[in-house]
Amino acid sequence: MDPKDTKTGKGVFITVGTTAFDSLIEALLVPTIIAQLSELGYDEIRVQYGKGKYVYDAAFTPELKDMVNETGISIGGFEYEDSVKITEFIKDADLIISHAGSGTILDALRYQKAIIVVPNESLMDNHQAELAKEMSKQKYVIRGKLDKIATHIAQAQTYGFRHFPRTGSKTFVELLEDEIEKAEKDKIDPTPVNKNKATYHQRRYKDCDDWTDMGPEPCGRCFIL
Amino acid sequence: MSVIVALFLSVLLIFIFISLRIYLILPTRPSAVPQTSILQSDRVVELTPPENSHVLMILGSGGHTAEMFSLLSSISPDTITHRTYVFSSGDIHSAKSARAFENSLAGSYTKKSNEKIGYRLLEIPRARRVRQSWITTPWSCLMCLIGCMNVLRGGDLEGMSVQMRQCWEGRRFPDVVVCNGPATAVMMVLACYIYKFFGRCSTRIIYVESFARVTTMSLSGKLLLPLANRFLVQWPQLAEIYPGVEHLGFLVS
Repeated sequence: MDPKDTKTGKGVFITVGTTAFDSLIEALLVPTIIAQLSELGYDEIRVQYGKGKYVYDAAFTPELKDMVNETGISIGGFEYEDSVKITEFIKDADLIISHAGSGTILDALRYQKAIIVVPNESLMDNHQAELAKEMSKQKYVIRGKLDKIATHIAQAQTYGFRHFPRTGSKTFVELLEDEIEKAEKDKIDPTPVNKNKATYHQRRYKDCDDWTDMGPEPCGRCFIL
Repeated sequence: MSVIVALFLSVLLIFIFISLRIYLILPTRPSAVPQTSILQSDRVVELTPPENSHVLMILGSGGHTAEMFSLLSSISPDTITHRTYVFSSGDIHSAKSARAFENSLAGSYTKKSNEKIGYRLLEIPRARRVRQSWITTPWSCLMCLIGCMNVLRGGDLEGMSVQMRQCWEGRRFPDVVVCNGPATAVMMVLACYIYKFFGRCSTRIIYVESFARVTTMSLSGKLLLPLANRFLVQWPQLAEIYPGVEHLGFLVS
């Protein structure tokens, strides 16, 4: 039988993106958090640790291993996968704990998953923290702090996450089509300066609408006709 | 003495001519129009949609590419019949995403004739590689610019099959360029303006600032602010800071 069919528990996906965000892994892979997650019904934890393999390995202390054996929770980690696979992991999980990468946030919102976003404050260019702040203000995500992660996990179980609007692309495509029409309108006349030669070509090959190829030889468009 | 005066005057004249030309081709964006009414006011002018159209999309690194395809997720291949994707050399991820996106479009054609037009997926040299020395950067920027100009005039079509050339003839210059942030976009827009300066094309430029930018504009965004025909931001905070940009809500979905 497929192990997926027998899956009764829920999954957690922890992701740090391409940067190193060791403190997030350190804060999450501790016995108390594992116990809490297990109690809430999660039985699978997937960690994308990026450049933090050593932190991930170091997190497996004897206490943590005992806790894992006791609760029967399964923990697996990997360095990085391409975006299609990452999206799969997000789709399969029920709770996402992530750095503030816009890609992960958008994926989580697309599949309407509970997501806790922890901005990496050690990064200098911190527009990601701003994104996390705004998104949490509008209740799309929970903005987490490293030292209060347990509270956030409890909060995420009952939090009323707002659904992200799905009309964005339609608005954009409408605008794009508007622009195409405008471009068509003010298109520079492709007629070359030497009009006599072009009309010659057109006279010769009746109804040929190609102005760019002006020679006496038939052009591609003449062939179509 | 008179030679110097004549020289000075001619230089002045050339300068005036060039600035006038640049002034003429620069887009005029209404900055006082309420942000929400722009779409509606444009719709009042009824234009007949063209049979086919050519849109060029600039793909950047991971996040930018993903956002670009999110923006485009609901395009119809029958309206935008000619599609060109441009990626920086070595960015295999973007090239793969473009192919995957085209495969997803394959089922939504309603006209057989549009299907054979296909799409162009083109590689251009990088403007600046990571950790490249600043001395060689102008040179690589120039190579990138030449690459962009070649893409715009459809230079790559010369090496393609007769059928492909027939399909693209008369649509070599894109009607619209869509970009959302990578450095290559700046070079591509610059190349567009070089052609516009000489009246070769009337391409319109749409710039979409990344969803991740809430209160600060990216460098590419700042540079392209006066050059884009439509400048879209996804957060109202940015629209307040920069006049002339439009906020139509989230565009990614």
